[in-house]
Amino acid sequence: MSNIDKNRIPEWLHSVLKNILRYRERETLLGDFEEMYSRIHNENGEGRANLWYLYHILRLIPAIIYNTIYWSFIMFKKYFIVSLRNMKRQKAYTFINFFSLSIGLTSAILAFMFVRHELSYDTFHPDVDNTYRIILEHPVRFNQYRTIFAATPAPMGPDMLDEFPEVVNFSRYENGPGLIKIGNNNYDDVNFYYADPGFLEIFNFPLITGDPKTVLSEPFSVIITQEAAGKYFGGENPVGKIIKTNNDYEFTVTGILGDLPENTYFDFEFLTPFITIGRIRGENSLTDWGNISYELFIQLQNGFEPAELEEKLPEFKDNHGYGGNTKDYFMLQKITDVHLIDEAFEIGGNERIKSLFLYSAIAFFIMLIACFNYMNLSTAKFSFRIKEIGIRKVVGAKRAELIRQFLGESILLTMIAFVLSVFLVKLLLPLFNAHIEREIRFIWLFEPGLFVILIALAIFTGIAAGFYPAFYLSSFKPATVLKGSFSGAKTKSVSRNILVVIQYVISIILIISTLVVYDQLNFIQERDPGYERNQIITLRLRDRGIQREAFNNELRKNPDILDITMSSGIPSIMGGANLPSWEGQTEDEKETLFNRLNINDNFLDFYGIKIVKGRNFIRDRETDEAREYIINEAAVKTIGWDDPIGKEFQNGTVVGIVQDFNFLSMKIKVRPLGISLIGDSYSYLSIKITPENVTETLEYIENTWKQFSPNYPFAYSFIDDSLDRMYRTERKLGMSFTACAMIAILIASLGLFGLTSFTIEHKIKEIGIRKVIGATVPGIVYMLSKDFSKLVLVSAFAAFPAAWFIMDQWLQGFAYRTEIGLGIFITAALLAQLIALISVGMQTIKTALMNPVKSLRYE
Amino acid sequence: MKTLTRNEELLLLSILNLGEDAYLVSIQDYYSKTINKQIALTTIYLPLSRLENRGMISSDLGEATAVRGGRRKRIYKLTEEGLEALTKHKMISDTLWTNYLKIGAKIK
Repeated sequence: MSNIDKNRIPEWLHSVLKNILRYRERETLLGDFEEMYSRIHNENGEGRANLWYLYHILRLIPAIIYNTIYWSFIMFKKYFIVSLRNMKRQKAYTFINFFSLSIGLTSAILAFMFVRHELSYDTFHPDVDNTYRIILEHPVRFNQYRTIFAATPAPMGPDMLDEFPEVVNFSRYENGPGLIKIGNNNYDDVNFYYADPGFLEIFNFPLITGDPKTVLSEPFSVIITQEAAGKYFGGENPVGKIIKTNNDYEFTVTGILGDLPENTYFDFEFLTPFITIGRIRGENSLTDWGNISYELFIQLQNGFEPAELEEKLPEFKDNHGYGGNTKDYFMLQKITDVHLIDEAFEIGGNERIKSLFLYSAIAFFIMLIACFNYMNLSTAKFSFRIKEIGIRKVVGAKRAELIRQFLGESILLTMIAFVLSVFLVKLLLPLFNAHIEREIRFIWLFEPGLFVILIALAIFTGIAAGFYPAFYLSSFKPATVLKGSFSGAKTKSVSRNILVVIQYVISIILIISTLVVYDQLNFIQERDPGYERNQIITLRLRDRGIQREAFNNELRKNPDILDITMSSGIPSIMGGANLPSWEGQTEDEKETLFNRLNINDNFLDFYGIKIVKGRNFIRDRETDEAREYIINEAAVKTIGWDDPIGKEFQNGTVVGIVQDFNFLSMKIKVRPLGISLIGDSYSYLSIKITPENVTETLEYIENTWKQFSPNYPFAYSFIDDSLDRMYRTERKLGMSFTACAMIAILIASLGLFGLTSFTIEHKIKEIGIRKVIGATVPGIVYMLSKDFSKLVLVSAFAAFPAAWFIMDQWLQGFAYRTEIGLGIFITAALLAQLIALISVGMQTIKTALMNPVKSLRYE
Repeated sequence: MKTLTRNEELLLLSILNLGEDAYLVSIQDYYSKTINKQIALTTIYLPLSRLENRGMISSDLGEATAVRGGRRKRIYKLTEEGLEALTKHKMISDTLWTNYLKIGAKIK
């Protein structure tokens, strides 16, 4: 004991242990260590003593771990019980929070699963990172849109494989005939595709039966997916059977493929070797660099950048005598992007990526609203917990401990809400799937990776929502509370108001968006497209051999059939485009894309399309020398003629001008159009029928069809249906917005409901007194509601510019659009105000009507 | 009935024997001396914690000494439960031994 000073543990060793131990053991254990150290130091010197010390610190670790866990568990149990008790005490608030968080989590989970699913498309192929599709950017003067196609000349694939060592494999992919005949049965709309043998190597679609090396090597062999086998061959083994296509070509089944997973861009039922095209369309078609219409996929060697290859392509294509525009630019597109990007014809948009963003953003905002509810209600009702907090602080709880407790509460509530949201997801998944047109399975939720992420999300939400209240609640001084005079409640609070405003801004933006979408859809419905839409059926004619005249005459015999016409395009399908030449065309006007239409002489009359100058075609003047054309007003404007009649157009003469009419989506401006009289090719029959006896008329048409074209399935469509289908995406958008707006405003209003009840609880005595003095019921209702109404009004004003901007952007995608009228804003604001007033009003009215005696009785 | 491991039993007995002065270091000394093997502080630290968590022993803060750098000791004491567990343990051993000795005497 005498060499006390010399035997003290060196400071640095000391601090190690000090920091590891929990508060409780710190002092005593350190003391024990000091004693031992001193003893050893005496007996064996400092060196040994230090060694001993270090060694035993390590040995303490299991004990420390055990103690930490044990005590954490005890604390956890305690907090858990306290949290539950608190929740029971404030059932209403807890319920609101719980419900909001649940809904928020549900939407987050659904959005997450959707995004994950979309991003997973085609990720299961063996060499995904090196698999690309070749796409083509066509610099055509065309309403300033980039025109991107997935089209290449047939020989490009094999030539690329030959000339570029970095290309290790390729496969072309082309849509084949849609009509097949098996035995005596005809099938329409079949997914029949041509592909190279490389297809099975590049893409992971395993063969169940058949040798992958040989199934796609012989022309006129075909492999079939299992699902298709079931559909077309019943239970029989399809291998060896014959499939005929519409020109009586025979294909033999050589193998069976496993069913395609849902998350792939590909959608084939039959695959046949690409070289078969050579047999069908002539061997020249396989070497023709002028026909650019086949999809091409390639596999690059590892380590090569797609851009490097892209740079070599312009020269490459020119060397091979590329038949398209020299300014055409080929690019490589990642296979995983193919599903996500709407390339192809028309507008090069990123529809799918946009919708991914949209769903994620909306889910995020709904979660935000839910979290705000939690923050608001927790901080508001903190006055009820003041006593508890005060006492705990006095007894010695540190602020950190309190924060931990409150965070624990919010996390606990969120986790319980998570459990409910899992159930909600199960419930809503079918509906959601129907809406997004995918098949997301509930089971996927429980994949370990995803599940962990979702739980982490829930915990994170709990922390995010509870973090502010935790800090707020633990912050004030106990002395103020226990003195008794502190009422604690602030009924007005700037931050709370801000949160409410944000909630309502989000909700109002969603409401406005919904209204605008429906407004636009309505506009599309109402707007005159320039032709007749009602009571017209269209038939697709694929049978080249059909006797048109006889068929038409037979149809006309039915009195319910008013008129028939034929054309190469119908509303929603404008087949055909070209780059015409005309009188006075300049060099850079050479590449202007015009739509093309071949019609019958009664077509314009049939559809009620006005001829504004010149005349219609005359039936017997269809000689090749004097080709006649009718063009639309847009064409005239594009060309720039003052007097178009008689001018030369595409080796013919312009004989008439029609008013612009829009066969395609309103998203696209009417394009310049060149119309000529039908030669031998046309694909569509349009039939006008009376509104009575529609079913019988359809039957009659079908029967007549079967007489004239028994080999081809009968498929018809009503024009108004076809037109409606064009706007499917927009309609779905409207539905999404509606649902989300409803959810958002529901949660926000619940929050408001909670806040109101809190305000009322606090002002109950004041109300009682006012009533006694003589305030009227409406007066009191006004007094209680006015603050909240003001908030909603402010929210509306804040929401307007943002909503206008967003929806204006969306409307830019339409060539023909409605105005975002003042009416929409007013409606949205009024709607929000109304809903808010209902949530607030229910309680305020009840309170205002209450007998003041009740509230004043207990002092 | 809570069972005791050998270690725990010995620790409890040591504490019992040490009476007023049963703290970590003294327990370690006594225990080591009794079983004739040097036991480290950290070896008994965890078992003692466990015993306390199970309610077999209780602890109080004791005096501080200079050699401990002025820090107080944690004095351990058996609880009712601990004593009970210990006695039961002994009773079982005793019964088994007595049985053996009776029989064993015969066999021998």
